[in-house]
Amino acid sequence: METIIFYFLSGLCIASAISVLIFKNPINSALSLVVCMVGIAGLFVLLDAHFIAMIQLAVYAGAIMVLVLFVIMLLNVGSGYEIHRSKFVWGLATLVLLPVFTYLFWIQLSGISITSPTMQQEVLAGTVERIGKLLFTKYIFTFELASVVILSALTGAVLIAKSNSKKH
Amino acid sequence: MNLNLLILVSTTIFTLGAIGLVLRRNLIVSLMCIELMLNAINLLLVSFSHYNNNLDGQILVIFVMVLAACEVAVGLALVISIFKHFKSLDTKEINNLRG
Amino acid sequence: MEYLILFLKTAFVLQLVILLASTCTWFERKVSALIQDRVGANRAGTFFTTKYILLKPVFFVLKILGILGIVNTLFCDPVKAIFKEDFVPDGVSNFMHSLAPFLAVLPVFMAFAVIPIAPDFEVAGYLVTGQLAQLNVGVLFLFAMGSLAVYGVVIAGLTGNNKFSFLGGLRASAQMISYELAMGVCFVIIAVTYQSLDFHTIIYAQQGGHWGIFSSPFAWITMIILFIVGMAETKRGPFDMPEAESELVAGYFTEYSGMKFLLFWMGEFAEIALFSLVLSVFFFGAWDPLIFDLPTGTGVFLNLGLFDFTDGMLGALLGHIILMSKVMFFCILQVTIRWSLPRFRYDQLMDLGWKYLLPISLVNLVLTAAWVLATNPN
Repeated sequence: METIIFYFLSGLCIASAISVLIFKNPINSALSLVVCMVGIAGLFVLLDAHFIAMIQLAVYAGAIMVLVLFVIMLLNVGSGYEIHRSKFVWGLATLVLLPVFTYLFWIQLSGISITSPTMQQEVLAGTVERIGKLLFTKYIFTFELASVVILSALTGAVLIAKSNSKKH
Repeated sequence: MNLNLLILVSTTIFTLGAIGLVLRRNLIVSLMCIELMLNAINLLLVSFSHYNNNLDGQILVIFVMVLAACEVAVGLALVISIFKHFKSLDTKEINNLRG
Repeated sequence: MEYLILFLKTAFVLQLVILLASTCTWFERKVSALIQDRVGANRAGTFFTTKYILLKPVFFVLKILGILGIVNTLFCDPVKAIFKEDFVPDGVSNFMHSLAPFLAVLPVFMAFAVIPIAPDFEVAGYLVTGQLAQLNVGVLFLFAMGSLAVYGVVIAGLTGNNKFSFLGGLRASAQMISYELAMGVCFVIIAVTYQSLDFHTIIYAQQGGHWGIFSSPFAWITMIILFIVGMAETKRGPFDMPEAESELVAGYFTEYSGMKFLLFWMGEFAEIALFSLVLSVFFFGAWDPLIFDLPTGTGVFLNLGLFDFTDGMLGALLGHIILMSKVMFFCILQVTIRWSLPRFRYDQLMDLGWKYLLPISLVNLVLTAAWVLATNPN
């Protein structure tokens, strides 16, 4: 059962990731990106990361993508099909793609497989508490730093968006 | 469900994001491709954290999400001001520095 | 047997959501009529007569239901909506236009899956929990579903191909994102108070009169903020900027008709019921009646021949009725507020969310955390 759900979700993720690239209209791209994010949240649930899955849904799908959609709506961007057609870019894309996939399929075919370890039940039950404890002990400095970063990013965003509108 | 398959899925999504970033010329779609790449990395981090029985990976995911939120906020503000200035989001038309 | 119980529970919860939504529709019509000094829906089903003696009691019941307006709201309106022409505006994709109402309804329905609606009881040795899925991150699931509910509105606004629905969608998405922040802080306060994100733990910590509203001296502030945020998230009451009739025709669902329009309507009323349920679960002890204890255990209360009606089942039934009456109270309160207060201006709405509710709830979080630290020394 879990395997079927895994294949379904990963197929969904990859298909929607492809459709992000091929849709002409940015709104359709954004919506397929939302589908991809929901699929990844489902994979997180399969990997016993319930807390991260919910944060993924609330932050990525619920806040970040709504913001992107909001901006698309606000700017009312046209839906021209624009894509780089220079040979250099296509060559670069193939160059990135080919070795990675050859390597990965070789690994897949060569039969080296890492199967799931049996997780202790108490680890699963208290994931939120354990994440909270780690966040506020071992990673407290990073946590505070992240809050400073997000504050400065938000003020910067307001400044960028506002200063321009005043000039015109 | 073994780790190799998860790595394969996440690499595929990452590569698709990278290709989109290079190939698409719409600025907002480029931003979304960066999000796609960050999501692939998140998936990889969570799967490693699951298979190593270690929660540090999930903490990293939280920080990645915070940085993604910052990136989107600043990026969209830039997109808005670029659109106001150039009346277009096509990266080909934003070429004032080209000689 | 486990699968049978799960199936029955799913059917029951789904039925409950639809029932709550339709009851809210009825409240809306009747309460608005009362407030505006009208009679309200009272015609459909009232004037039927029959000469057959056997059908007389049926028609009598129908007459009473008709005078109360139940026949009109629960039967005539849906039938009319089903037979109405399904209109899709020019120049938009049919698929996206039809997808929007489903996306507006689905997250609300899914959120009901994690909220307990009755105490646990045993049937033939199987423990039946009162919620569909016992998640250890239930409160976060509710939050995530609340934020996913924006998509239906946004897509509806986009696929209307109409300035009014477009503006409505923009306003709705901005409003929902803004008020989600205060809602998130309120949920953090709940997690701090009960030290759990699981609805089951939260409810069982409140049994025996230890209601959430008495848990700390600041709990009532959280309650009021969550109530206001809930009304803003459902786009009801004085917060109905996105569908302001006098400015935007009907906002984001201007271009919808028939069953699709009714789906939006149903999602909205289900969300009202959801927030009432959340309020009574977080602050009013869910099924706790405050003055007496609900019967529990497997002692036989009534022998029905086929199976024993145990004390636990009686407790579950009573608890469900008590919880639903609390939910009904909050539904009526929300409908009353909607018809009593005038609409906010857009800048006032944003000011309330960002300049008042968010700072107040942040201060409230610090105060509650200090109170919890002071009262639990461990």
